[in-house]
Formats: sequence, structure tokens, C-alpha cells
Amino acid sequence: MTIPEVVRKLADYNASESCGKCTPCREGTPRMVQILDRISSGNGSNTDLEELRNLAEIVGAASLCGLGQMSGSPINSALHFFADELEKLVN
Amino acid sequence: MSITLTIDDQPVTVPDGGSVLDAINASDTYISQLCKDPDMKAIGACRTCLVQIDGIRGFPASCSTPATEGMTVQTDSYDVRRIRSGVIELTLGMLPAASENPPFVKEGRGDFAQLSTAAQHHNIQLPRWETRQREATDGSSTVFNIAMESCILCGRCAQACQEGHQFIGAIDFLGAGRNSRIGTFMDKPLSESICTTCGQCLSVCPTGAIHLKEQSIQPVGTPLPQREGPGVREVSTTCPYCGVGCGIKLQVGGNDQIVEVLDDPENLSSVGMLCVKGRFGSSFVHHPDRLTTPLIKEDGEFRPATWDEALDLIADRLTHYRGNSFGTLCSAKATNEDGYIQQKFSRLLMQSNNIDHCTRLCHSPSVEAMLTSLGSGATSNSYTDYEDAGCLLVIGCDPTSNHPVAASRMRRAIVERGAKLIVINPRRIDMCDYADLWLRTNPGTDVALLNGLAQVILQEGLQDQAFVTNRTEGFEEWVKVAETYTPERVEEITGVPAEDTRQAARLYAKPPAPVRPSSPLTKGGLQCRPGSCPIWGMGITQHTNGTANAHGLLNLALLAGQLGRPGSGISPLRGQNNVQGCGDAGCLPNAMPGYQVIGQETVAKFRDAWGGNGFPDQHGLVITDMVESMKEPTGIKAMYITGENPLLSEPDLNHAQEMFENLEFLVVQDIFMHETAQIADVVLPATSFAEKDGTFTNSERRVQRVRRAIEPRGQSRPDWEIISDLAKRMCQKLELDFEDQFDYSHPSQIFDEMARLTPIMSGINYDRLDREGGIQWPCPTTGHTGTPYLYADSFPRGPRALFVPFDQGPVAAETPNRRFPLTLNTGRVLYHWHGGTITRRVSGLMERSPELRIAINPEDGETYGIEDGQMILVSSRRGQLTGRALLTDREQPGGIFIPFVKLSESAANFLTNAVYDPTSKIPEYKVCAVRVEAVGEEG
Repeated sequence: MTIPEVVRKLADYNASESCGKCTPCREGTPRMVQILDRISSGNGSNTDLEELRNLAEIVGAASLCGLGQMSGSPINSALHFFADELEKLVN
Repeated sequence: MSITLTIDDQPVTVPDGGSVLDAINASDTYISQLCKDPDMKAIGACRTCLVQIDGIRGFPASCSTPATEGMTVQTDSYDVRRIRSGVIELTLGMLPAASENPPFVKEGRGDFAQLSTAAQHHNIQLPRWETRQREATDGSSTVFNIAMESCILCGRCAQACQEGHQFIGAIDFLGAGRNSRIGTFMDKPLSESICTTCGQCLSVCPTGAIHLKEQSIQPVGTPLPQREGPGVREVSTTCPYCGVGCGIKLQVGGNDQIVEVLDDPENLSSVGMLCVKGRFGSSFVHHPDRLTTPLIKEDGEFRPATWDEALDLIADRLTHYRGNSFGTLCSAKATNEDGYIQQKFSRLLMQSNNIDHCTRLCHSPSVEAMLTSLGSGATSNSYTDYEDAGCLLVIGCDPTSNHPVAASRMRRAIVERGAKLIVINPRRIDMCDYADLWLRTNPGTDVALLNGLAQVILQEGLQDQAFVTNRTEGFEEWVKVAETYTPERVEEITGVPAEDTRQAARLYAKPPAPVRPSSPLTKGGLQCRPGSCPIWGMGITQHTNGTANAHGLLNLALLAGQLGRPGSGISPLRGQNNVQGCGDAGCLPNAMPGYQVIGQETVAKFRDAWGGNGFPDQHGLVITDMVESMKEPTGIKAMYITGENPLLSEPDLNHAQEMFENLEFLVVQDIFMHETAQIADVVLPATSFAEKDGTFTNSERRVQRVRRAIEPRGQSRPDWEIISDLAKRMCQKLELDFEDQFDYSHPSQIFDEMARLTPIMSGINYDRLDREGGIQWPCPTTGHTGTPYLYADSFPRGPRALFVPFDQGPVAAETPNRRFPLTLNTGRVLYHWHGGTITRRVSGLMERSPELRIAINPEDGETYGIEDGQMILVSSRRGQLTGRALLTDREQPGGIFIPFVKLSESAANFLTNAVYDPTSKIPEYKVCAVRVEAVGEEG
């Protein structure tokens, strides 16, 4: 499994576990999956990576409970430690 | 106590317990807040009110962060704005086709206004996310839609339906995550859920996802009112339906038409709630059926007439009926001022005390019993006492249908504050869902049950001995009767298991303390022992033993000392919006305004005030006696009826019709043509509540303002004005010297006169009502703030209240036999008001409840070969009707329930029995014997 696949898997887990009470987690986590799907399928762009970083920060900062607050962590880690793998996919 | 904190470098002070959001709002700093309703607790779901606070990590939601002393809050830093913008963008992404959509342009209530303001404030110009596919609309309610595609899942609607306001719980979130949506139990359409269509969800929705079907609350065939333009205004007034007395805000359109009715969070009786009739039932005022000109009957046909013609005719004719051959029926739907003028007209000018109103047909036994035992015939407590009580005893009433907002306050007491609920009713009413104990009595056996409860209290020593010794009399004689009703004997009579009677007595006499003694509504909590409130309605009173029943309840309250403290008291729930006020204003045959009983002294007092030669110091006839006297040569020959329809509300209608036809002269003054008006000689068009100024007094004795919102329809005039005009014409004809007694230019002058002559409301005037909101009488001086509960130290009859013993008599005048094997009970349904003259003309209500549903137990259905939904014929010894069968175990086997609203020519009062409680003269609407048979669809 590649890093983008792992990140996508975790994002999907968060989206399906989101209870739906607070807006950032309910609306943000599926948007993360959406962007990661686009990137994985080769249709992503650098803007998508930027969008992902931004979304991870907002959902993490604004969510009501730990699930949403931590949902950005895998993305941030991936962008930090495996940036090349993600960038490869969008170029 | 208050807290001072700093919001964006500005010091702000909020009361103790306030949140950071409260402080921000108090500082006039704008912050987005989509899920926080001003009148409900924080939900913390929308995450658009995030702030930064020194010493607190991250971005807490200000709505759910308590303000603390010295806190430093930033609402506008770069970081927090960026986070909030991100959240608002995600929220906008939920809405349909965001790119071209309203959120960026539309303004106004319920049209994404809050969301669009939030977006503008955060400089969001373009949508960031493509829209996502959402669920479809639930349009099953007759008056509003729930459109999920415009929903931002803030949760306010579910909160309003639950602990925020109504405690109904019809809607909540279904599903999880991004599949969440608002729905009902088992995901059924709203119309099949327990939803009562109160519209509280509609009133709190910030995006208009829940929106009104505008046409449904306008009369059929009329154009939609203009929501915008010059002349659009809001008028605060009081709801015209039941005795709860909710505050409403009429939204009047530019074309002088009521657009919508909003709740009034400032109103102390309704605290921001309304029911389906209050919120959606006002369009009757615009109905094309409204009477708009006086009508005179010639050769059996009505012809339109001018006011001069009609009033001169009435003045001519009525001069022949001064004295005891004249009777008048006042309206408990009209204002206090209307009632006052009508009784003044009858007494001063017509020399007759034959004055009555519909209280005779609803709470006269309660009033009689309370006058005897306590000396005052009013509810002793307030709705806040329900919320402070440890135990509510709901007997002989169905508050969810008839007093929906009072029922919500009871549910708050039960659900939020842990009060115990005892329901005593032969029918399984909705409140049974919340009950700790439901005692299903056989109809007409309440005297035995209430005596039985007292017996247990005595037996187990649960009485308040100090109260009994110091504040009551008649105890010994009463005990002799009460102590013979052992729970076992009671079980034989009533069918209630002895153990249930015991438990109910213990709960009532020694209720547990409310678990959360301080709600935002009653600050400070209870400082005394927990109380109990009996709350009752027509199931107690409309019996031949009605007065005995009411005494049974009062005896219990006296024995357990459940009077004169917060959280206790006695509550007969009043039916009509102003039935309390109509009695207060003196529309009674035996009392002047303020329950000053007629005798030489009172007559002298009013003669001094009014002039003239005085009026009879003998008590007049009650309405049921007036009707019976119509056949006598010396009986009532002329009647003046305002806003009442006795030929639908009297028992045994065929008989009543015969009696009324003996009248020589009948004037009916109303807003619609109805059964009684049809047989009148002159019909006068009156204004509705929306077209006049005045006051209503509600069930908790709160006098509240009614304000003119629209111009009178056609030539209609307020009742007080019509009668004053008539009185002046009669004074001229009869050359009487008190014409100036009917010279009023505004109802406030009438109220001031009434207040001057009525000690219990001397301190109330329009200025105070406008300034302070409703005031509860007794209010003897202008410095007095009103009285939330009575009998703290003494009783109007003296220092001691009276125990009055009653034995269980015959359960009813007419009991089932072989020919008429079922017991008929009558009452009301949520979607109709009384006989239906008003609600039949509101399309949204009519659609919800279009035909008469006759409730029968399935066992009886089987016995008589009746299936659910089949048309059936119900007959009593007096008449018959047809309706659609509703098989339900809400009814006891052997019991049958018909609401007394008249739908497709069927009215329950063709069946009911014109026999009366000997003391109060109330008819026995609640019990008569009937039989049922299936008929074809044509009926």
C-alpha cells in the first residue's frame, strides 16, 4: 500500500465515522476523501494539495470532538514526511 | 452577580452564568452564530462562533464557553477569521447550486439571511466547494415543508421540538456523518409522526429549509399577501384561541393582510411557544365569509342594511323588553372591554341581570366550588408553578389537544425537572406517554376516586396537619364521608386498582422535590417543600356531579396543604381566550365586575358610579335556565348574543333549537354567519381580535393587551362600540339621562372605568400593560407587580377555607342500556377550535382534520361489525350523526369519543343530554348513552 493510499484509507475512515453533529468534520472529512481520490486518480493538481493542507487545518482546528480534530493529522504527516510521493501524483 | 471580560480590547459585563457569546453579543461586536438560537441553549455544532481566548488552546466555540472574570477574547484575529471562513465555506457547500444561489444575495427572515451575513462578513465572494446532492423535501405537513437541500444541519429545529421549547420530540437527526438529515421516528412522513404541527421548528430555522406553505394559511381563493413594501409592520398582541394566552406577533403585509404569525419570546405565559392554531390559524380574519354589513331579516330572508337602520330597529324593539324578559349572552372570545360594556348595557339600560357567557358550559362547577370553599373562582397559580411542582395531577383534561402550550410547560416540568405525572382519565390521552401513573376511571366516578385519594392520605397520615388545623374548617364533617372510601371500595366503583389509588395519593400529598430546581425560567429555585398541582378541565366539570368533582379536588388540596406556595395551587384550565376575563368583567348573572356579588350594597356602589335608577338586586338567570324559560310566558323573550353560537354549543341541539324559536326578538353580533345567527332578526358584523384594541385575561389571571393590527373588514365594528352606539340611541328614545355612560372613544377608557370599580384590578392600566407586558390580578395598586399565586396567607372568604363533603352519586343521568349500549364522551381535537366556526375556515387546519373521526375501542368495533375508516351512524335518544370510525385502544371498551366540532353537518351536541349539575347548571356533555351502526359511504 502506498502512502497516498494509506492517507486516503484513513480519511475515508474518518468520514464514515463522523457523527455529523458539527459542520467542519461532517462536511470537511468527505471533502478530504474527494480530493485524495482526485489526486490518486491522476487528476489532481498542486492546488489540490494546497486545498488539502488548508482543509486539514480548518477541520482540525474547528471540530467539536477528537475525531474531527485529529482527522487532519495523517494528511499533515504525509505532506510533511512524504511530500514527494504526493507531488509525484499531481505532476 | 456579574462578570467583566474583554472582547477585542473592550470591557464587557454579563450576568453570572453568561457565555462568551453572550458577552460578544452584548458588546455589539458581530460574530456569526448559525446554530445558537437566542432563546435556547447552545448546541455548539455550527462552529461559526469560534474565538481565541488568552490561556485557552485552539479556537473554542464562544457559545459553549462560559464567560469568566478577566477573560481576554479575540474575535477578529487573522487566524480565527481564517478558520471561521473555512467553516462557513464548508457550510455553503451544503447548499444547492451555490454559485448562483441566494446565500450571496438574499436577505430577509428565513432566507439564508444569517448565512449570507456571515459570508459577507468574512468576505466570501465565491463558492469554494461544488454543491453536494441532498435529500428531497418532506411536504406531508399541511402548512410547512422540510426541504433538506437547504438545510445546514444546525439542529435548531430538533432542539426546538425537544428540550429547547416543546418537549415533543417528533423530529431529530437521522443517519450519521454526511448522510445526516432531519427526520421522524422510523423515517415516516411528518404527517404520520407525533408532530403536532406547532411550527416551532419553522420559527427557529435559520435558512428557510423549513418554510411555510404560504397559500395554506390564507383563505382559499385569496391572493398571497405582500411581504414587502410600504405598510409592512409587526403588531404584538394576544392569541385568540385558547385560555393559555400566548403572545403573538402578527406580521402584517402591505395590503393590510396578515402574512404570518410569529411567537413572542418576551411573553410570560407562552415564553416563545405557540401551537398549530395560534401559529397557522389566523387567516379566518380575512375569510370571504366574514360578515361585513348589518343584516335585517325580512320575510324570512336577510337583507343588507345600514348601521343606522339596524341599530334604530334594535333600539325600537328592545325598548319593549326592558326587565326580566331580556337576556344577553356575552362572548368569551371578545375583550374584557366588550364584556364590560355588554353587562353594563344589560344592567343599566335593559334592567336585567340575565347575563351569562360560555363559562356556564365549561367551568361553572369549578367556579362555584372555589367560590364556596375559597371565596374566589380563579386559577390560584401560574404556569411557572407547573415547572416548580414535584407532582402534576392532570385530571379530566387533554392539554395536548386543548391547551398545547400549557402542555409543553407540563412536559418541561416532567422531562427536564423530574416532576411526577398522574393522569386520571377514562381515555388514554397523549399525556399518558409521560405519566408515572395513569388511573383509568369509569366515566362519572371521579367523586369516589377523589374521596379515595383523601382516604389514603388520612389513613397513612400524609396530610398537612398544620394547614388543616390553622387554615381550614369543616374538616370533621368531611372526614366522616371521605374516610368511608377505602381504595378497595373505590376500585369497585371506579375500576381503578386499589394500589394505584394508594400510590397516586402518596405522590400527590408528598411529592419528590424537582431534580433541577432552577431552570432559566424560574430563577433561584424553590425555598419551600415540593408542591403538587391538580390541573383539570371539562372532564371534571361537565357532569351532573360536576360541582362535587371540583370540591373533591379542592378538598384534596386543602388536606395536603397544596395551596399558597410556589409549585402548588389549583388549576382549572380555561377554555376560551378570554373566559377568565369575561367573568372578571361581570358577564355573570350573580356578580358585578370583579366578582362583587349582587346585593343591595353592590348595586348601590354601581348606581353611584353609573347613574340611572339602579338595576335589579336579584340574581339573573344562567344561560341554561334562560333557554328553558323561553317556552314560558314570563320567560326570556328577547336576546342579544355576541360571539357565541348556542345552537351548536348547547346540549341536545334539537331541543335548544325549538326553545330559541320561541324568542320574539333575537340580535346576534358575530364575525361569521352561524346556526344561531341564521334564526336572528338582526345580525351585526363585529370585528375580529386583529381589528380592535382591548385586553384578554388568560387562565393564569394575566391581563394582556390585544392590539389593532389591521383595518376592520367591511363595515364591521368592535363589540363595545356597537353596543355603546345602541345604548346611546336607546337612551335618547327612552329619554334616559345616562347617555354619557356610553360615551367612549377608546377601550382604554372602558378599562380604566372597570379598574376603578373593581378592586382586584385597580392597579392595572394600558400604560402599564404596554410597558410591563401582562399583569396577573389581584393587582390592587399601580405599584403592585401582580400576583403569581393566591392564598399565601388567607382566603377571600376569610382566614379559613372550607371542606365540602360529597358522596358519589349516580355516575350520570343517562347510563348505557340494551338499546344504547355505549357511553359517549365529547371533547376537542387539536386542529379544531370548539364548534369549528373559525377553524373550518382555515385551509391548513381543515386539510389536516377534514372530517369527524369517531373513536371506538377495537373490541366494540368487532362487536358492532365496524371497521377502521368506515362511515358509522351514532344515535342517542335525542338525535344522530354520521362520521368515520377510528378504532383505537385510547378508548375504553364500552366508551366512544366524538369531538364536538361540526364537520360536514355532523355535530356531537345533537346527541348530548340536556341534564344539569344542580348547583352550577352545567350540562352533562361528558356522558350519555348511544348506539353505533355501520352505514354506507354516503352516510
